[in-house]
Amino acid sequence: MIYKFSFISFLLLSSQVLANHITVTVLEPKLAEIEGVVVYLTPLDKSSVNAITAQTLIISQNNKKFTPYIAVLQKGQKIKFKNQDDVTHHIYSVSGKNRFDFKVKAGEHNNNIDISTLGEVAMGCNIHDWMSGYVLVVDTPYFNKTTSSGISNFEDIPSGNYKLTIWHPQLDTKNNEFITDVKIQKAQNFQITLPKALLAIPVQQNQDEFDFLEGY
Amino acid sequence: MNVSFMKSLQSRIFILFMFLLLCIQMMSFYSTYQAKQKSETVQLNNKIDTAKQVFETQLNNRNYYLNAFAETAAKDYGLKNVFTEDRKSFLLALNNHRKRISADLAISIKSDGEITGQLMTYYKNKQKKVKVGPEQGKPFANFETFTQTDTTELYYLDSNIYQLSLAPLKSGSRVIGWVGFGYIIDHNLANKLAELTGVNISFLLEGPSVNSTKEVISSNPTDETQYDLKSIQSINAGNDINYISSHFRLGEVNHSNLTALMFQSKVSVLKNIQADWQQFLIIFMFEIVLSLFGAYLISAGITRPIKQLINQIKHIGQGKYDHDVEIDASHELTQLADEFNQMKDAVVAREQLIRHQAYHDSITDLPNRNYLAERLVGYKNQETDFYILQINIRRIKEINDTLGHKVGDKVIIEFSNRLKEYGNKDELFHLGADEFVLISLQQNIEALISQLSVCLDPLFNHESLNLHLQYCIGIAQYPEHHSDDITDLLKKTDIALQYAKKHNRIYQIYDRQFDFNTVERLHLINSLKTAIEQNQLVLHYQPKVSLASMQISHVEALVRWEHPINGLIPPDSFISIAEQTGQMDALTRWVTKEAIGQYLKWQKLNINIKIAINISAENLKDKSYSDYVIGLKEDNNIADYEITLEVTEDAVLSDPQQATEILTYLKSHGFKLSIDDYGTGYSSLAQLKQLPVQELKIDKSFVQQLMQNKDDQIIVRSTIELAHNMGLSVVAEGIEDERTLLWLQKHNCELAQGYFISRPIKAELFQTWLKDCAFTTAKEGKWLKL
Repeated sequence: MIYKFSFISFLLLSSQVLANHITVTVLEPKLAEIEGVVVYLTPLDKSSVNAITAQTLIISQNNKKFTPYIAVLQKGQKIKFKNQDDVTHHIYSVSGKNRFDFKVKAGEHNNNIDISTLGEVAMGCNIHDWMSGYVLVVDTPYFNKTTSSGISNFEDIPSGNYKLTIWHPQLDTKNNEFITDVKIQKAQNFQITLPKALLAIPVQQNQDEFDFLEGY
Repeated sequence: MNVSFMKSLQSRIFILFMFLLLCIQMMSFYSTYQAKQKSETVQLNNKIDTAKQVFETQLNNRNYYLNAFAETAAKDYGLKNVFTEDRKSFLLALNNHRKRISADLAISIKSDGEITGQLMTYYKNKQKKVKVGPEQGKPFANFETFTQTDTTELYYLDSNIYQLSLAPLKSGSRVIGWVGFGYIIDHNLANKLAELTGVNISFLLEGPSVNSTKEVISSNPTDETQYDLKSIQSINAGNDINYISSHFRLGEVNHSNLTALMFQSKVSVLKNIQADWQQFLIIFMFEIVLSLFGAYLISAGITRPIKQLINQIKHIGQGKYDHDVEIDASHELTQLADEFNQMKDAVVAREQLIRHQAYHDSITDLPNRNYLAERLVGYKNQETDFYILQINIRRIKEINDTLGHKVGDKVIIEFSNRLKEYGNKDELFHLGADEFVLISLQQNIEALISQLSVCLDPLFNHESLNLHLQYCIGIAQYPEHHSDDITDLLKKTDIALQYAKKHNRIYQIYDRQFDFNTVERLHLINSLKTAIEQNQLVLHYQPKVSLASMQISHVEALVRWEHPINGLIPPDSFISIAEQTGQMDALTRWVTKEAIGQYLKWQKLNINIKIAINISAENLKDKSYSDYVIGLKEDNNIADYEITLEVTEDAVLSDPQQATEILTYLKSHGFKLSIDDYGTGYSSLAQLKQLPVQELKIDKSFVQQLMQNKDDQIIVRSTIELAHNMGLSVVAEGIEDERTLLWLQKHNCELAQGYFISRPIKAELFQTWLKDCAFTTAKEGKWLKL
C-alpha cells in the first residue's frame, strides 16, 4: 500500500476556536468526485469526546437490498434492522468479531443486535445471495459519507488533532481505508485524492431471471 | 502360336471383353478403394475427433461440476458460519461437502492466502480414506492464479495432480476466504476416459525443454498392446504413422504442460473396415473370375455359330453334300449359311455335270473310258465272267476327210445308236472317236457277234449316200485274259483289235502270242542297256557265197539277244527299241567291236573271210562312229575293203547329204559300203547314183519266191544289170533253195546269202560248219595275202 498524500491543501475558512466547519472533498486519482465514501475524523485525544450518537442507525431491507449499502455506526449507538420487504431475510455477518445472524420476517424489525467491535461488519442475506451491506463501526461521532459531489461536511468539529479516515469496502487499500492525520483549528476544507479508484460496487440485484416471486 | 491365337476372332473378342470388363472392374475397384481410403480417413478422424470431444466434454463436465460445487459450497451458510470458528468444526464441515461429490481434495484458504484447511483422500488397504493435507497452515502457492479465474486449475500436491476449483467464501459481498474442491488425475480417470472415448489415454507432462515428456499416468490399453514411454513419446510426437492421435492441453502445473494424449492404432480402429475390405476383395476376385468367364462365354457365344459354320463348310469341302449348312445364330450369319447352301447346291450341280462330262462322251453321251475303268473294277469285284469287246469303226478318217467331220460324227452317233439298240443288258462305252467297248455277260461269243452284226450291218443312209459301216472287234475274256491290272484287259482287246484290223477280220479274240511287241517290249527297253553291258548280246554270222567261185568269202554279222529269261530274242524286236531309245550307237559299236574281234581271230586261224556289219541311220548323223570304226580298223591293221558296212536305204534317206558325206569319209578309209534291203525303200536311182557305195543287197522279199515268181525274176535280173552298169556288185539274200542259187549264179550276181547256204550261226560253230559245208573257202586268198 502506498501512503501518499498526493495533494493536500488547507483553506482557512473560519477563525472559530471550538467549533470548526470542516469540508472534506474526496477525489479519485482522475480527480472525479466520489459519492458514498465514508469519511470520519477520529480525535487522537479520545477523552475529549464523550458524545454518543443518540439516533438509532436503521438499516432497511428494501426491495431485497440493504439500504443504505454502507452505514456508519458509532460504537455504542443503537442499530435496528428493518425488513421492509414482503419476504423473510436471514441477515448474517461471519467476518470479524461482530458476527451475528438472525432472521427477520416481512415487515418486522430487529434491534437486538449488538455490534460493539470497531471495524467493518460485512453483511449478507443467506436467502438472497446478492444482498450485500456494510456497517462500519467507528469510535467517533464525526463521521459522514460524501455527497454526489464528493463532499463530506462536518459541523462543529472541535479544534484538535484528528485522524482523517476515508473508508469504502471497494477502496482497494489495506483495510479499505485511507488515513491521514489532520490538525483542525478552524474551518477547513480538505481535499483528499485517493491513490486508487474504487473497485466495482456490487449491484444488489438478483442476477437470475427469477422474478416470478414479484407477483406474490 | 501367339500370332494364330491373336488372329482368332474368339480370342480377340475374348480379349476385348476381358479388357472392358476388367476396366469396369478396375474402375469399380478404384472407386471402392478410394471410398475405403476415404472412409478410413473419415473413420480415423471421426474416431479421434469423437474421442477428443468426449474427452473434452468429460473434463469440462468435471470442471463445471467442481466449479459449481465449489460455488455452492462457498455459499453454504453452515460452512461460512464455521469458517472462522474452530478448525475442527470447519474441517468436518469441509469434509462433509467433499464427500458429497467424492472430491479427492478439499481446501479452504483465508483471504490472505493462508491455507486454513486441506483434506485429501488416500488409499489404505484399498480403502479410500481422508487425511489432512501437508499444506494446511501454509500459504497457498498459486493464490492469485486460482482466485482470479473461475475455472479449474491444475494443482500439484503430494506427487499428484488435481483439478481444483476455488470459489470465494463471502460475507455479503466481502470475500472472507476461499473454498475449493479437486479431483485427482489418476489411472482410474484415464481408464474411465479411455472407456468412454474408446481410445488410449495418456496424461503427459511436457516441460519447456525438448524431449522432456514424462508419462504421468496412462489408461489400460484398449487395443491389447502394451505401450512404454518411448512408444508413447513417439506417438505423441506424431512420428508413428500407425497411430492416430490427438492432444488436449489441460493446463500448466509446476512449469510443465499437462497434456492428455489420445491415441489408437489405426489397425484396431479400422478392424471392421479391414474385415469388410477383405470380404470385398474376395468378392472382387470372384467378380474378376466371373468377368473372365463371362468374357469367354460372350466370345464363345459370338464365334460359336462361326465355328459351326466352319465345321459344316469343312464337311462340304470334303465333298459331303448330304447336309445343308444350318446354324442357330444372328440374321447375318443365317444369311451367310443360306448363301453357303446355295453355293453348295451350285457346286453339287456343277460337280454332277462335270462328273457326267468326265464319265461320258460328249458326242454320244455314252459312258467313256474313265467310266469303263471304274466299271471294270466293279466287274472284277463281282467276279463274274464276261467278255469285253472293243469295237472300232473302220475308215472313219476317210469319211471325215471326204464327207467332213459332221458326217463322221453322225456316223459315230448312228453307230452308237445301233449298239445301244443291241445293248440290252450289255454295257456300252464310247472311248472316243471310233472306239466303242461293250461288256457282255453273254458266254457264246459267236452268237454275240452275229447278233451285233444284225444291228450294225445295215447300210447307213446319209443324204442319199449309202454308207457301209465297217467295223472290227477285239475281244478279251475275263478272267482268262486277266492279269494283275483289270485295265490290262483293254490293252488286250486293243491288241486283238489291231490283230483283227491287220488281218482283215471282223473280230479277233485275244491271244497271248499277239502280245510280244507290246508288253514285253517295254520290258526289253529297260533291259537292253544292261544287256549290252553284261554281254547278253551275241553275234551270229551268216555266210555269203561268192557265186563266181562258189567259195564262202564273206559273213554278215547279225546280233542276237540271249535273254536270261526270255531266251533268244530276234533282232527285229530289239533293234527298233534300240533305235527309239537312243541306244543304237552303243549297240552298233558293240557289234562292230565284236565282229572285228572275230574277224581278227579268224585271220589268225587263217580263215580269210570278209565281214559285213549293219550300221544304222544313227551312225551316219556324225563322224563319231566313223572315227570309231576307222580307229579299230587302223589299230588292227586291217586291210582295205575287208570290212563291209551295210546301210539300209531308209538310213540314208533320212538325211542324204550328211549320209553321203559320212559314207564318203568311210569309203576313203577303205571300207566297203553296201545298200541293204534294196528294193523295199523308195530310193531313187538318182540318189543311188550319188551314194559312194560299192554294193547293192537285194531284199530277200524279191529272192525268197524267185523261182515261183516271174516278176521277182525280172526285178532281180534288171537290178543286177542296173547295179553292174553303175559299177556296183550285187548281193542277194533270202536264198532258200539250190535253184535260186544257180539262177543267181547264172545271172552274174556276185554274192548269195540265205538259209539254203546257212542260217546265222555262232562263231564257235562257224568253223565246224565251214569244214563240213559244201563250199570251199578262200584259204588261198589268205595264203595269197601272205
